[in-house]
Amino acid sequence: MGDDARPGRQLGWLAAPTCIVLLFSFVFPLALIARYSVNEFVPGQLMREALTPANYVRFFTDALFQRVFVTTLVVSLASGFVAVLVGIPTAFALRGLSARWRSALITLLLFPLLVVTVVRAAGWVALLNERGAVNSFLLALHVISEPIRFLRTAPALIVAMASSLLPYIVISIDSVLQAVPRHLEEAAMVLGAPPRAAFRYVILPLILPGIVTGFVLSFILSMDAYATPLLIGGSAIRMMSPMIYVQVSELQNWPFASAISIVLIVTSVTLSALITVAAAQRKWR
Amino acid sequence: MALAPANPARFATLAIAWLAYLVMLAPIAAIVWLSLFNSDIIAIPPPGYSLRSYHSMFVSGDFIASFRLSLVVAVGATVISVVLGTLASIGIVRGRFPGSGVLASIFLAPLAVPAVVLGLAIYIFFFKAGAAIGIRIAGTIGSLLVAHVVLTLPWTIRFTSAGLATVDKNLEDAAMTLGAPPVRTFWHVTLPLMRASLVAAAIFAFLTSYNALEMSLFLVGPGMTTVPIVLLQRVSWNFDPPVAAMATVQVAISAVALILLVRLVGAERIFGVQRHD
Repeated sequence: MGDDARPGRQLGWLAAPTCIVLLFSFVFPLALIARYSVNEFVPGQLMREALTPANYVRFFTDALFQRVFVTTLVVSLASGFVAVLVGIPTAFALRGLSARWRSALITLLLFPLLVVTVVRAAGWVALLNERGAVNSFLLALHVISEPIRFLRTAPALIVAMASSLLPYIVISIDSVLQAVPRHLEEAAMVLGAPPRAAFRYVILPLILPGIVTGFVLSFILSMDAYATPLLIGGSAIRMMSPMIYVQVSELQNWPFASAISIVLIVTSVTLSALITVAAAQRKWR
Repeated sequence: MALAPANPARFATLAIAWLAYLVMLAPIAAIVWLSLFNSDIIAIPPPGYSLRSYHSMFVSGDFIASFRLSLVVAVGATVISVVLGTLASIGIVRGRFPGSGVLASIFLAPLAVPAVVLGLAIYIFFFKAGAAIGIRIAGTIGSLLVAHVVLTLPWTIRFTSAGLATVDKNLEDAAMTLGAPPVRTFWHVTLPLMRASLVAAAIFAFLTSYNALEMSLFLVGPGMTTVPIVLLQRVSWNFDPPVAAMATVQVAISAVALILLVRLVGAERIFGVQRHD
């Protein structure tokens, strides 16, 4: 591409408007909340300019916020883990289908991704309510005599979150699985490997990059989740994103909300990097 | 399905796959089902089925106002981000300059930041900037539009730069050798060749903006709310069949967008274009 005499360099200026928009609506705003996160909150007058770690100290020492932090991590890791456990067999089931079935099933997989999370979370509320579809069904069949409380429990939240992560996991495993020849595990088994060993030592190392990519992406998405924890976790299981909103809308505590925001970004970026590096180091042999 | 002789591992794999699809699609199906209840409240089993919740939805001023705002913002964000994104893609893909690769990844950075955080940051920045120059910026339609553009730009840049990369540069060179000025070459040669990715970018941008919830949280206010925010509030406080009808409209829009995207770029490539990292 270097041998043309066209004004290639000048064309670069066409990216300038986008740079300006992102400068004023992405770079500066994020820099501003990073700065505000070390300001001091004064009830009644928003905040006072300062350089204090107080907001971060409060987040990591106050029992309430410690719990929110740990809950966010545990729920995110657990939902990603459940989605991987269900996603691996699902990706295998898509393998070897005819082109028509494959693209139909992949289209169906993409559909929930395009439906906004608040609608899917609302669907879970409708299913899992005290008087929801699942309870009504079980009551009608006399399987249970009292409605089960699903909402505001950790398992329900994890199932709902995992279901919205599944498409990402399945697609990223599917993309590496397509490169694995089908007779590979058959060859291993012909040579005497039991199916489990063929999977563990032949297939798993090959699809691991896809699993890790999918898991890291789902981990980040769960850390950021807003509507699902709010509607399904409610006041019982609180995560960081809804907490940021409460700090601003109910308490007008900009410095503290900014500090939680920075912790959220740093945690999800650091942990994702760690997971990726750890997976790359461990050779799974 | 490759029907190998019945074996338990294959059976378990298929059973889990069916379960996965059930879990992914059941909540969406539940919403559509609820929207058809012939009742003012959500009572299962319903007394009957009708389209009356759709009627209540369309006569409710709140719903209509939020639909209108969501549409205006989504169309605005789509137009702005497709134009800016296409220009930026030409800049990165065709204009080779030092750091163009770095710039390309910076353009995708907003995707990596939690939307609530981005929404908060934009709200605070606009609030302060407005206070500094004495004009109210935060909480106006303009602020909502700019915030949504930040969300949609990475997608339009991704789709248009992927489309631009497939356009044979020799065709552009041929047009210019024959005397067409660069702008005309772009308009008559390059643009038609990347039409599919432009349309895909527009559809994706529209859907991203129309579905944006977290980004809008801080920027909306009484009398100015978008559909996802109304849905969130109503599901929390007053979940009835008209709310499900409104959610079903959202589902229908997503379904139409998906069908168009599959036709344009193919089911297997939508995601490949989205996240090729």
